Amino acid sequence: MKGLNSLRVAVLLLSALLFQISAQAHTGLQKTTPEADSTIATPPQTIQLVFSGPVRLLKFELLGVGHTMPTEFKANPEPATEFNITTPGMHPGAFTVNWAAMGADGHTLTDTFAFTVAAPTASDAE
Amino acid sequence: MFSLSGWEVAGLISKLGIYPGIAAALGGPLVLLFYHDGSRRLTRDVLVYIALAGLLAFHSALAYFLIQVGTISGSGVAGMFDWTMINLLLDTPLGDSSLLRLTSFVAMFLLALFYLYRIRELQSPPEQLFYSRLFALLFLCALIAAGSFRSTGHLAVFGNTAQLAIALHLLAFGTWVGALLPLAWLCNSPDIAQLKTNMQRFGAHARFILIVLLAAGIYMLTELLTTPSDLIATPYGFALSIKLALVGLLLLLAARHRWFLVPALGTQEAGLKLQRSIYVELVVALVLLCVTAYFSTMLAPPAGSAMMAL
Repeated sequence: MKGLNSLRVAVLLLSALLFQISAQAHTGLQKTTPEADSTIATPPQTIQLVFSGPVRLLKFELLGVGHTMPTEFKANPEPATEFNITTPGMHPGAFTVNWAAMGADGHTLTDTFAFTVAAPTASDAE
Repeated sequence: MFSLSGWEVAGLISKLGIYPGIAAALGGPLVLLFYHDGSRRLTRDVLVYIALAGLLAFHSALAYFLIQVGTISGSGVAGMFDWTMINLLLDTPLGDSSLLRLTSFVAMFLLALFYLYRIRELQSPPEQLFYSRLFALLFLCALIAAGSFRSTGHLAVFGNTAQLAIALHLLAFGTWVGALLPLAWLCNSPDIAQLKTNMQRFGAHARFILIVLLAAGIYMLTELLTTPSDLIATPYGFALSIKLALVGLLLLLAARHRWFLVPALGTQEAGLKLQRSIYVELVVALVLLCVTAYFSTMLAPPAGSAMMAL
């Protein structure tokens, strides 16, 4: 009984210890163009994702406010570190990119980032 | 601070369910082949154990794959059955490893059922060949399942030596842990002299299993860490330290069995004492598996390790 109580305490301590360890990312997203949370003047023709290691980009979703934007993304099982996705029909507004990839070690990565395309000003129109 | 999403928790739990399948396929037949007490009941119980572990592992492997599909689809539970995404992932190392696992666990389950049927049909206790064949076939299933870990995980990006090391590590640990539950059942045997002989024989065999386990484990450590200080300076290393501490605890328990409890076997009470200690060993092994599933899924080796240099 004493041994079992010690074991219970050990397991609880272990659980507490494990949950203090911050998760360390596997292969991750290194850079995007446009940059996350940036505001750009011109609607981008392509969106670029650069990863720290080769990944298989399996999902790329571009959302405007309340609608999905068309892209020329096609999931390819071949791994790469850089992806350039053509985004026709971009316009001023707020956008969100949802992406998902699989690293070389089989771990799945999912994340999201946002950017804004600024509305043209009166001086731009002149 | 660390937080786990629902998908991550589900993925961890499903990954955890895979390990008992491999362990039961290795340890169960080993006990029947080398440490059998002659009772039909033990054969039946071990075969049911193998069948149930195979069934659990099959569903866990399937769940793990579908959870990854769901994670990537991002459409909730329904996204787990996105056929386009399923097809895509089947073309990745995850798909390869999942198919290997599913195949091996189905085979394991069917083999256990077949041998359960055979034992019912036999009028007399089966011969040694019966157990040898069972061991060989289930070992093959476990080998295929262990081989699936070559395609995914941190060591998947390493060369053949590291991948061989992880397969050996998994097979050795699975054999040891998988044998614990049948060994605990053996302690109910009224023939204490035979129990003592069987446990001593297991102790002798376990030395070889330990050598393979520790050698493969140490090699993997050298590949995954850059310096020994990574064990305390990085999250991955720290989690690995916890695993090493648990391995140390398991070794202490095993030593206690070998040098104290087994030599003291002489009465039914001594047998039950050994049984309780084996159950404690099993709980520690399960905690160790949880830790392994956690850090192999949620954490990455330190920057600068051999893996990151590739």
